Amino acid sequence: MNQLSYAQIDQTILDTLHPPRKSYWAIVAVLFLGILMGAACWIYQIFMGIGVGGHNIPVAWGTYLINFVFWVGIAHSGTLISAILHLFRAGWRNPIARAAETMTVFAVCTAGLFPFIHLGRVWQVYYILPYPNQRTLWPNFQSPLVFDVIAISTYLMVSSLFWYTGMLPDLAAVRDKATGLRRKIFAVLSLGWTGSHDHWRHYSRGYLFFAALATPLVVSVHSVVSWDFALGIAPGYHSTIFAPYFVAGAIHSGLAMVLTLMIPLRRIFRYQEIMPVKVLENVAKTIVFTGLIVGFAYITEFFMAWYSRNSVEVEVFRWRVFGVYKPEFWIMVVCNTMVPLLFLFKKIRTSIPWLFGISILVNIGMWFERFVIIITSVARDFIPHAWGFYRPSMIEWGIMIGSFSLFFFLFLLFVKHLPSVSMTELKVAPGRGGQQHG
Amino acid sequence: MKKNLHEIILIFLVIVLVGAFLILFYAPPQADIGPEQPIPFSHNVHVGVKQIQCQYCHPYVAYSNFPGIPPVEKCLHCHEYIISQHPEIQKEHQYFNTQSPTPWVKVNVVPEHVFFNHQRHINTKVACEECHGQVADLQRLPRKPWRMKACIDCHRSKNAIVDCWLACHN
Amino acid sequence: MFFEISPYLSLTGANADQWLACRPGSEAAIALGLVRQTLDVGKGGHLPQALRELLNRASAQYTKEHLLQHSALSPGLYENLVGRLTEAKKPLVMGTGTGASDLNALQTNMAVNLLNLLHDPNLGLHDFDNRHRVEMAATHAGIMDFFKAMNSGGTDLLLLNNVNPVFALPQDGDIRQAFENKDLFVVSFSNFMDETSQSADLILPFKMPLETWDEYGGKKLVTSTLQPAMGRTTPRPGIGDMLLTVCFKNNQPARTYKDWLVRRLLEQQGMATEAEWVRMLQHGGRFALNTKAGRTTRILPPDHLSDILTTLGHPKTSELAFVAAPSIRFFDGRGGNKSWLCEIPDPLTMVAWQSPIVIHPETAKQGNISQGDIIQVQSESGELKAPAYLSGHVEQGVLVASIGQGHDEYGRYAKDMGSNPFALLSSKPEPNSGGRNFGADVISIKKTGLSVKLAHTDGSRTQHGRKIALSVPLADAAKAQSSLQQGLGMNEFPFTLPLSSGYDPGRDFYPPHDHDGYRWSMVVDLDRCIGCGACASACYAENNVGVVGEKNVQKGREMAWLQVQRYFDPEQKAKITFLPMLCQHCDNAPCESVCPVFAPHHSREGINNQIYNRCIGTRFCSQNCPYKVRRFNWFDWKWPAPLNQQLNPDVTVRSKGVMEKCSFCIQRIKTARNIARNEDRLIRDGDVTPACVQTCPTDALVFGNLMDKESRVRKMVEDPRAYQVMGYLNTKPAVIYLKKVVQEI
Repeated sequence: MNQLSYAQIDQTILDTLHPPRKSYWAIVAVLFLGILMGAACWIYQIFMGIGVGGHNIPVAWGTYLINFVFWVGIAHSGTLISAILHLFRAGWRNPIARAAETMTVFAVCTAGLFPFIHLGRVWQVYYILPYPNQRTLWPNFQSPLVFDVIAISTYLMVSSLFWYTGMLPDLAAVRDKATGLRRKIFAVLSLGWTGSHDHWRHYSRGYLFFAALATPLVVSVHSVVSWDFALGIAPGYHSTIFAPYFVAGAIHSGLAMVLTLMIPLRRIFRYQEIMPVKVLENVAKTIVFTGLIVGFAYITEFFMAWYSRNSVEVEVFRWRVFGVYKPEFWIMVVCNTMVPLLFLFKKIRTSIPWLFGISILVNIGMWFERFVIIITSVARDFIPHAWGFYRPSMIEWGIMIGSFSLFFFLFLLFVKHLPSVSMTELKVAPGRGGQQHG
Repeated sequence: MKKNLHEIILIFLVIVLVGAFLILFYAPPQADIGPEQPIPFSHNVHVGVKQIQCQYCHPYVAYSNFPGIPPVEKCLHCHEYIISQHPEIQKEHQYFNTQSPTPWVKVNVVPEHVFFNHQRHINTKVACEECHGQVADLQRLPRKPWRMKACIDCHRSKNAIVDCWLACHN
Repeated sequence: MFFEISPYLSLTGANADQWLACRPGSEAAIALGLVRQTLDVGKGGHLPQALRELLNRASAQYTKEHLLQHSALSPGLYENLVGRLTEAKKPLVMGTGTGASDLNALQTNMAVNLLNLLHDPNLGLHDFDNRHRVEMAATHAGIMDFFKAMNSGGTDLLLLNNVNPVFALPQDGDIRQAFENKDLFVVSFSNFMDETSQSADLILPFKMPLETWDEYGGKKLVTSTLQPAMGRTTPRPGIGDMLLTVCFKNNQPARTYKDWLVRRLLEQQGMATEAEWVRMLQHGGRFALNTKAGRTTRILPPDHLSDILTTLGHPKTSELAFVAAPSIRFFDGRGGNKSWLCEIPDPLTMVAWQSPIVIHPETAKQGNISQGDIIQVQSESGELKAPAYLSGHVEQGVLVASIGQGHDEYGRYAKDMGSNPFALLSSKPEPNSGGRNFGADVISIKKTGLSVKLAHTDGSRTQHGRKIALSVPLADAAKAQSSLQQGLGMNEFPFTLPLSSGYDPGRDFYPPHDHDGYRWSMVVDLDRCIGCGACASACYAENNVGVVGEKNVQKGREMAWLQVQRYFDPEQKAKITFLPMLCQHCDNAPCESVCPVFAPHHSREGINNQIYNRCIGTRFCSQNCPYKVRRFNWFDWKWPAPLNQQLNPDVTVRSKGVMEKCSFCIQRIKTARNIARNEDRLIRDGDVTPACVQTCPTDALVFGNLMDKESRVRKMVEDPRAYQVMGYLNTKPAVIYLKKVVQEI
């Protein structure tokens, strides 16, 4: 990276915005069909009722909540990389910061759909908002779901503004090199950026403040999401370790998703010089760290269940390991705690195929972690007569495929229409005599 | 000014059209009078002029959970003798003879999840006019979709029960 | 002390103190064995010599060893039974009922009657005057002869009044022949297109009992009056009016059936004026129940008694036996089309909508049959395909299926639901009694290779050591709860009434609720609960609860607000506790704090309100309810006409996406409150009766105001047996349970 000049950096990145090949559009079309299928499934559910899913009593929450927590979790490490590591002046994150923040915004958007999808009467969702109404009714601020509304909307707003603000100089760069309609659009988007000293000063201050604002959100938003469970009394939900456990898990899955997105991106756009393997290796090292925290959390939960000698608690955890959801449990444990330990070996964490493969496995494992937590705790809780079993239905799979399609669809559109690596940040790496972040 | 004339005219037209639509949709001229009924019954004549008590025609409010509508024979109690040849009264006879209820259009609409009990209100001396308005002055009754605020305000001021289920929503 | 002896555990057996499993057909031997034991201890001295000798002869071979060998009774339990029987001051032995009649039914019942005579020469516990109307029913042999006579010609017209012989009688008889007979004109008065109506030539539906004037004498000294409780829903006549019109050309005994009925009642009851009849109508009838049990009839044992008693039919020779058990829900099949009866599960198998065959796990293992496998059972008379339900509550080698399902017509709920065990039974009457044989020898059991997911509503059959359905030995029942170990563990948590007196700053985060004069509460006496499920059905009726159907019950979506849960004791095989579980209306409800829109909220009278129109369906309340009593409307449930006429207009019909649960029948509380306010007083104890409380046949449920010191519930919670289910969660439930009292043998 040190060998590249400013012009070379610009060229490499702006080259990626050239009109794409047919294969790109084919993939986008397929993803769009996926979104349509998800939408159709959701509309069907609105007309028929939640019964088209696999939910029942006792397991009233299913894949919709799992996907919600999954996507929100993925969003967090984007902010970790772009905001927190910015505050720590960790320059290695510069090549991936933009894409990571984009991943955050799109993941929060995708996640934000799920509270709507899982509602029984989504057409009355506005009851949850504290709007002035003639019934003189407030929402229940004691409820973790209302915390969620506040937290997720805050996170979406701050992340979007952070993302957009950070992109301003790059949008101006695109505008400068573009012609015709493209130029007009980017002229509007770049808000009249001229690159003057004042603009740069405001920009760097603004970017810093947003990073500072977004930083506590990394911890708080997923803590709030974890309290959806921890504030419930079900065994397996009601545990004080949930906030740090979920935050660590969120970072864990998000970093894995960063790898999953960056590795093909790097290859297709030929970012090998801008985004050396060292960057990916650092991500892998962080995954080891978060994996260990997640493993510690699992051990703590099991220890506490055993130590409490509470028969209800013990039974839930025993059943997780030996009961009907045994496969899901073991996928979770192996993929989240053991597979990432492979990154301790330098050979593995510098090998692109291994990085990609393990990142996929970690994401699968993290999805199943949410499955195990959400489903098994209520499937076998206090009253044995009420114990039940849950299996997701086809409509739920359809909606889940729709959500994954939505995320990748948005990301694919992003990489081809907006600069996917921050030209600005690459140029202000320390040692180049660039702008100081004041 | 001349440069943007087209845009100004366009914006002005849009505002006028939207405003007209909103007025016609939410507050059309006939909204005050109320829906047309199968027989043009005038509350003003019966309550205002003839001074008939509300509960003479609407007795069910005193003892039923559902207020109902006066049955066909109630009208004929009087109108078999009073202006019995009037064409509208003949319509009543038609309904009576075919054992079918007069298809009155409901104006006091309460949603399905509200169980309003007239008895409690009558017994605590709430006058009919307090909620139903000065019916004696009206010919047709305007449609009145009750909103919760009206109930809550009155309940709060009279210190009546505001417990959701016990009051209304079981 | 209540012992029950039968080849399978019925609801009666589940409520007994001890159930003894026996081979089907060996009941007569067991009864004679008990006669033998009674004679051996010297009882019966008061009986005439001839009778005593006869009994000696009849019971000679039924020694303890013989019985234990042939009847599969457990030795320890049998000895217990004999000991208790011989020591008892006033024992009562009851024989097999109609539904349990089999090969030796007559002998069994005779032996039982003589056993009673041995113990009590005056038969003080029997009433021979106030006879039951059902004794007037024809024998099975009589019915079969009736059909045979019809087939041999001479009968032109057959009128069937709300019976379904094509379904309920075994098919290997002359029934079908009768219906196919071209010369016989069959008229069915049924309101449903059941199997018989399908084969009938003319279907004339008549008014149902709720729509007619009539009288009914269930027992000899009781006359109940029926009057129409419904308006004119259809123009069909009553059967009485039809007969008056059709059967009498000129000299009709009365103009209408009602006139005739009134005249008859006036004569019969010795009433002079119609005013007296109206008074009788207001009471619901004449019930001369305070007359002493009569002993006007003297019983004389017949001469040929010994022949019958010494010629017992051989008990089942094949290893496998089948018994068709009367169903608490469907009776003989007439309840098969009633959606609530299908939806509320069988109390012992907890299976709804399906009719499984109950089979012992050992027997199942031999055939490699697992839970839910559809098996084909073959007997001499036919075959039956049904899913298997493995349970230790039948004798080994005995297969039991409940009667009532397996209709191929009859309506939308009955059609193609379950299977009909009558297919395996023979139509040949039992030679001695003329009764029907509800058992059959099984020739073979085969796996069909198919299996079905059983629609059972229980997630587990036992309590796993949790404080849910507790019982207490009789000796300790009156002992006050020891306040020694008060702690926060499951079994040490103190009993906390849902009142402000239950507030403990040491464990409560929020201040206590301020209840306004009333704190509604329910006491459930587990000792009285027999597990019948009538309360669940009443709740469906009163509260517009949706029926979800078999597929949804398989998924776990039944809507029952009140569910009778049953728990087996893993150690003592036959000890069952039934627990009616409903919304506990907790003072510290976990559901209230987690709803984002305040849909469940605590009323000032203690009830947990679920406000349907506020609910947006996040389902967090259900996730947080430890009792899992909250039910979600997964779909819009259907009430196809005319079932929608049954809906209670005082209760909201919930749309899809809304959570619901027991409301303590708030609509009834509101009615009582309205009346009380009109009379300017407080609601008195007993003014409010929720539907379940009203329907419970054993008065196991009691409802009232806990803040009223004189109310029944307040007094009952002082009982040392009182406890709260999962009370250690600090939910402070308002439903207090009284432990079931068990007698140790």
